[in-house]
Amino acid sequence: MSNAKKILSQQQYLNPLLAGLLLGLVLLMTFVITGHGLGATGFTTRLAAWIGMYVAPAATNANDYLGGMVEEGKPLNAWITWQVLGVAIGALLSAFLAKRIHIQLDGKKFLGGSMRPMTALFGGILAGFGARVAAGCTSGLGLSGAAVLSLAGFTFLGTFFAVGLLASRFLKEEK
Amino acid sequence: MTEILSGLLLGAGFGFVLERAGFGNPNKLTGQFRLTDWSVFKVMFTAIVFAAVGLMVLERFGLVDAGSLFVPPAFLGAAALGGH
Repeated sequence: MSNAKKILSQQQYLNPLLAGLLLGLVLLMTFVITGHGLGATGFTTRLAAWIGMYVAPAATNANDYLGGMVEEGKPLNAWITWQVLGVAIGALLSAFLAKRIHIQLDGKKFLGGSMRPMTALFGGILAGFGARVAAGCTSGLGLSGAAVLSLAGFTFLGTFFAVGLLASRFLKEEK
Repeated sequence: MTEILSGLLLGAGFGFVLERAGFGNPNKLTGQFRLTDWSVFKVMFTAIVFAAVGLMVLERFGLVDAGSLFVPPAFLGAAALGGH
């Protein structure tokens, strides 16, 4: 199938305002049912603790941040683990129904095709580092934190958008 | 068991809606920062306003105890630095 045909056979993305309402509904239900919001990097942190438990047990135990998570020997035993698993299932289902499942590297003209995975990995490391400094990511702190009107949530969102705007000015255009 | 179920179901709802909104596509976020595509901003702020107002209404009707909700502590410098 040619690329143009592939794009034509895909479903359009949902209207942003409708998607926002549905996302708000899921978020509200999460608060009502669990007392906290939705997240993502809470899981990756626990995954890091879990890997550390096997790869570098002494260092992980001695670490102020990860040590507490491995104390009982089950860092992945948490609500967020199931939530992240659910996210993968839900996103896969949605992409399958909309015929959006295919393997591709986005924006490969940007910073050279073969370097793309490396720059993406570097960006991911930066994002993960920032999420631990801020004690939350765009989902956990930006979305869930702002929904309970926390100052931290709005501070995060403000700098997130402001610095993102600035940083993208310093990078080459894609085309 | 209920924790596993609520995690899986709410997570699936979260993932489904995010994919529907186009957030499985990194160009959506780049587009937002280049100001060529405003969907990230629209989706996030509609969701925040809906959930915030919803929580307020449910609290008025005594269906939600605001004191038991998790509110991130205000380490503002850290939140700002992490937002970078």
